[in-house]
Amino acid sequence: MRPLVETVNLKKYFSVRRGVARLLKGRVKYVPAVDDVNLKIYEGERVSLVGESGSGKTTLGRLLLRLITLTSGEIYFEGKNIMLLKGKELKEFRQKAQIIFQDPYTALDLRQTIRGALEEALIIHNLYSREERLETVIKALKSVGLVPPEFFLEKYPHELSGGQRQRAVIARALILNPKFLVFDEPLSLLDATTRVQILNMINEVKEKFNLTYLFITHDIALARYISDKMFIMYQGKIMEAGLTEEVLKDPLHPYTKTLMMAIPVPDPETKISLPPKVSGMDAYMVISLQGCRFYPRCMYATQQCKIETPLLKEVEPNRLVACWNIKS
Amino acid sequence: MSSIIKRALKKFVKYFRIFSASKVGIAGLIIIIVFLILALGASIIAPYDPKATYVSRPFTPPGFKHLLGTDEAGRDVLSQIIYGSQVALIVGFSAAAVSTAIGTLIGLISGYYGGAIDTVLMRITDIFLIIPMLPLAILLALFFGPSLLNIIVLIGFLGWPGLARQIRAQVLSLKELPFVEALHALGASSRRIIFFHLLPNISGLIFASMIGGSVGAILAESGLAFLGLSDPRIISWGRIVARAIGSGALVRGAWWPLVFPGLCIALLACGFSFFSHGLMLLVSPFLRERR
Repeated sequence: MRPLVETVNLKKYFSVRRGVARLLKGRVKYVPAVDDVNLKIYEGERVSLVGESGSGKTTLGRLLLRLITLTSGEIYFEGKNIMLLKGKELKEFRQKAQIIFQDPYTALDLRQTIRGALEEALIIHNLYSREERLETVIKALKSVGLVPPEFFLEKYPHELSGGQRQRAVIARALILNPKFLVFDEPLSLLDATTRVQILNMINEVKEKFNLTYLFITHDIALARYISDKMFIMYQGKIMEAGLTEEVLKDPLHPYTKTLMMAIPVPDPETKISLPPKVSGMDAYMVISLQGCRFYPRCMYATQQCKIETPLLKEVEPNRLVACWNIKS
Repeated sequence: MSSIIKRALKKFVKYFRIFSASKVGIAGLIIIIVFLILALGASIIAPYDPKATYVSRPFTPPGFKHLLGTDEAGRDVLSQIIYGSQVALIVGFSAAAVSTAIGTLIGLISGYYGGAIDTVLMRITDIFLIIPMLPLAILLALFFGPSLLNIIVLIGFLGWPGLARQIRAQVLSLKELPFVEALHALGASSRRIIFFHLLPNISGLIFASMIGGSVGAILAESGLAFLGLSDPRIISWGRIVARAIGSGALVRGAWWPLVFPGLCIALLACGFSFFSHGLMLLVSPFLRERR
C-alpha cells in the first residue's frame, strides 16, 4: 500500500550565524532541526510525534505542509513530491492537508468574524455557492461543538475563550475535508479542563471525518489517548517508532525510557526517580553531528555511541529503534 | 437592483452604529462636515468677497461688521477663512491620500515579499527620503508655473518614505504570526493575505499617516505660499497668515489674521484625528466595547 505521507532522508538545517557575523566568523553554523527523517504515514493512521522542546517536531510538522523550505530530501503526499507541486496541484494539496497551531490566540485574524474565517477557506478553494457556504460553516461549527452555531457566527476571536478559539481553528481546518492533519501541540496552551474537552472533541471528529493525522506533543502520556502509532524524536532524529501501546509498555530506546520516567505517578508516596545520568545543559550546548544525539545524556552510552550515529533499524516487527545497544 | 441597495444601506447602518459608539469619532465627523459645508457653500456663506480689498480699514479688529476682523489690505478675514477651507480640504486630503497610498503599497510589498524586492524598494525609499522639498518645489514652479496641483504632487510624492518604512516594519512582524501561516496552509494567495489580512491589521498606522499627512500638507502649502511658490490666485489659510506677518501684523498687535486661520488648521487636524478614532472601531473589533 502506498503511504499517504512519506519523507525520504528529510533534512532541515537552520543557519545560526547570519549577516555580518557570518562574514566575520567565516564559517556558518547550522542547527539540524530535522535530520535524516524517514517516516511513512498510511491512510487512516493516527500518529503521534513526541519530543522535548527543541527536538524539531514542530519544524517537521511545518515541513510536511510545505510551510517552510527543506534543506534536502523529499516529501511525498499521495505519491507526489510536494516540493514540486505548482498551481492547481498545489492548491489541491492545500485543500487536502491542514495544520492546527499551538496558540489559538494568534492563529485567527483578530479582525475577522468566526464565520468570515471559516468561509474564507471555502472562498479560497471556490467551493459552494453563497448559501451553501453558510450551511457548511454552520455544519463545521456544530461538528467541533460550537453550539448553537448561530451564536458563534458573528463573534470575533477576542470574544471567545481559549478552548472555543481552538475549536474554531479546528473547524477551519476541517471545513475543507482534509485527508491529512497536523496537530501542533493544540492542547498545550489550554487549561486542564478545556484540554480534556478538546481532546474528547478531537477523538469524536477523528471518527466522523475518518482523519489521518500527525499529533505533535511533548507529553508522552497524552500520546496513548490520541494515537495508534508513535514516533519519538530527539534533536532532529527519530529515535524510536512503533505502535503506541507497545512503545509505552516496553520502551526500548534509553531516551524513550527517560520520557516515560517523566510521567508523574498520581501517588504521593512514590518518589520521583530521575534517570541517573542526565545533565539537561549538555543537550542545548552542543549538538554534535557525530555519534548518537543522545550520547551526552545516555546512561548506557559506549565508545561506539560517541563516534558512530546509530541508524533507525527494525528490531521487532513494526518496531524501529536507533540505538547501538539494542540488537534485534 | 433594489435588494442590492437595501443590502448596502443595511451594511451602512450597521457600520455607522459601530462608528457612532465613539463619541469622539462623531465629534470629528461633525467638524469635518462643518468644514465641508463651508467649503462647498463658500459663495453663499461668506459675508464679503474674500478678494475685495479695503472693505474696511486695514487691520480692523474683530467686531460686528467683521466678525474676525480684516487683514493688512482691509479684506474680511472670515470670508477668506471660509474660502480657504476649500484649499485646505483639497490639498490636505489629496496630498495625504497620494502619499499614504504610495507608502502603504510599498511598505506592504517590501515587508511581505522581502529579499531582492525589499532591497530594491527600500533603496528607492532611501532616495526619496533625501530629496529636499524646497529646491524641488522651486524647480516645479519654474517648469510648470506655480499651481495647487504642483503642491499636491510635491507633498504627495515626497511624504511617503517614512510611512513605507513603518509599514514594512509592522508587516515583518505580522507575517510571522501563525494566522498568516494558517492562511498559507489554507492555500490563500499572497494578494489575499496582503489586502484582506495585513492591510486591515496596519490600519492604525494608515489613519495616523492620513491625519499627519493632511495637516502637514496644509502647513506645507502655507509655507510654499509664503515663498510665492503656490498659485497666487488662490486663498488659503496659510496665505492669510503669511501675508499678515509679511506686512507687520504682529508689530501692530493685529493677532486676528494670525490666530483664526491657525485655529482652523488645528481644528481640522483635530477633526481628522477624532474621526479616525471612530474608524478604528470599524477595523478593530477588539476595541469595541462589549454590550
